[in-house]
Amino acid sequence: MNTLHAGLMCTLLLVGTIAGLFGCMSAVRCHRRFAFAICLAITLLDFVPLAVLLSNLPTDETLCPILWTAALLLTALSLFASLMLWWKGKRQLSPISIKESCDHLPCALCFAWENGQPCLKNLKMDELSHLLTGEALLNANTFWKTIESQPIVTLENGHTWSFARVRMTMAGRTVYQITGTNITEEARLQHELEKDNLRLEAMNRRLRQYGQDVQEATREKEILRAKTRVHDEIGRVLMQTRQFLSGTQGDAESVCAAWRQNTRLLLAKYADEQHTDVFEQLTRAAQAIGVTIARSGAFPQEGTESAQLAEAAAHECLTNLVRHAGGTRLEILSERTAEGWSIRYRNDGDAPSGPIVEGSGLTALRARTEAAGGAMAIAHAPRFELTLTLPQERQETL
Amino acid sequence: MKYKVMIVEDQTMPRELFELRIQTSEHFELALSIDNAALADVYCLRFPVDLILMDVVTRDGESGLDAAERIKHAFPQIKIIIVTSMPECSYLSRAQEIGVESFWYKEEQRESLLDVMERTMAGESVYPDATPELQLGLASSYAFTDRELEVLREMTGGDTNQEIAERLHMSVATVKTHILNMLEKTGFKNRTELAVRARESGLVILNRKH
Repeated sequence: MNTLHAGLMCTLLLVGTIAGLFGCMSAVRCHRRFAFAICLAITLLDFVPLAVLLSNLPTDETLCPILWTAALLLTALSLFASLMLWWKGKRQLSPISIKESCDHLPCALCFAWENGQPCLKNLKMDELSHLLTGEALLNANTFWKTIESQPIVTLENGHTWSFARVRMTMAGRTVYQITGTNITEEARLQHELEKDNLRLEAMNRRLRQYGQDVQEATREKEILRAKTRVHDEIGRVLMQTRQFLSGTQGDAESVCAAWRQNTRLLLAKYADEQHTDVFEQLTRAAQAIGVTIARSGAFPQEGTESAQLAEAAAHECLTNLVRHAGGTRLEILSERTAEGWSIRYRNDGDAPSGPIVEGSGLTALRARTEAAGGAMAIAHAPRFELTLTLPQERQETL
Repeated sequence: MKYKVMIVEDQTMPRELFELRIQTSEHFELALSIDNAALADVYCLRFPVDLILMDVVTRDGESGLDAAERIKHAFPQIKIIIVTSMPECSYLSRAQEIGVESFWYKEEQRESLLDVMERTMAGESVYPDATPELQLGLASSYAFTDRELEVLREMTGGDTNQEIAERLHMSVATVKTHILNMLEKTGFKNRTELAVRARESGLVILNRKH
């Protein structure tokens, strides 16, 4: 083998050795042990003949084709292995690529072991930790303790961040994930929504009040219209009187009749009557039809649901007494119990001949009582007796 | 023989005027006047009454229509005329459902009350053709659908869309659509203006008693 051939073969083997070493590095970076072993073997297979060749040039010409074939094969294998590993390494995620992609996330992120030591965190998290604690995030547990009580923080630059911590188990080990999300826009909208809701609530309150006022105003308007009509009537009578007095038209009798009619209106009291409670009104109505309502005991406060039910029952018992039992006295006994109220209705009418068949009135009353959480019981012997058991009245009025 | 009339009206002035008209009429006489519709059926137990003039909104907010329903049930022979100054559209249909004989708007003087009373006693049912037409913003009150009026009525109570939806058994989106349609028709700027103007006009009246 001449010197030129030996030099060319040495270069070939050197290229193979370098390619093999490159392949080994790629295998280490990709954590591929098997690939590393193969690459190392190829490197050695390239390097050993190189070393032998450099120390002692073979003189036998017949060996040349075999040596050339072996050197070419080894170098090709080495180049192929290193290229494959380089290609694979490019397509595979490495710890560095994960860290890099985490740094590009808009949110702040940190994974830490149970003792607080971070295993992965991004730049945003360090930046926020600097702003919040004055130092980079060194221990996730310490960082979480400082923000745990108030995980939504508004920074000096006006941005609002929301932090959350999740506990996870990975390969049998506990890992804590802390995330921070920029919620500046959401916080602003939420704040605006709260303000709007407060305004809306105030507006709705005014609207309810307004509804009541309008009812009052409508009544006032009606009264005014009636007053105008009376005014016109009086004017007409005055005209009639004047015509009679001047002797042009009319007679004394019709003038007097017109005056009588109108003075009746003028004498009437136009002011609304004083407020009387519903029981009082019902008692008066009963008196007008010849029935006495006798009440004893303490009654639910007027306007409460219990009071309305007690009144409705009295109304129902009164009409049933007159229509079916022919009585003249309705007794209502009410008492406070531990649970609320117990109200009994009795009368002096004819005793029912059998069980009471509940008509539409009693059925409606029972439904209303039960809807309010109470109970209604009707006894027919020895006398009719209706008992309402009502719960503690709610503060609200119907 | 004169027909006996009961007046249920909580305002002294209109009541006196009704009484005056009845006392001066040939065919009617006053049986009694009361101010609370809830007690009307009690009085009917003893007082022989042929005809009732029933206001819709009476003392303590008691509904004359509810009372009319009870009376029609217990005393079907008594004829009832609903008299009201409220243009609320649901009153007319409710009165028809209950079986009230006649309906008279205090404001509309096309027919006198005595005429309506006489025709009613002659067996006729006298109803106005429609509720009085009102103007709500750019729209006539006739331009609203029944469902829109229901939503409008609840809106005057100052409730949120959610509460209205629950009460009327519809979705919040439907409530919003109805409100938007009404805003478009009336040209009002917002829902509050719509509710206030509707309540003011008397087109819808919310009665939450019971």
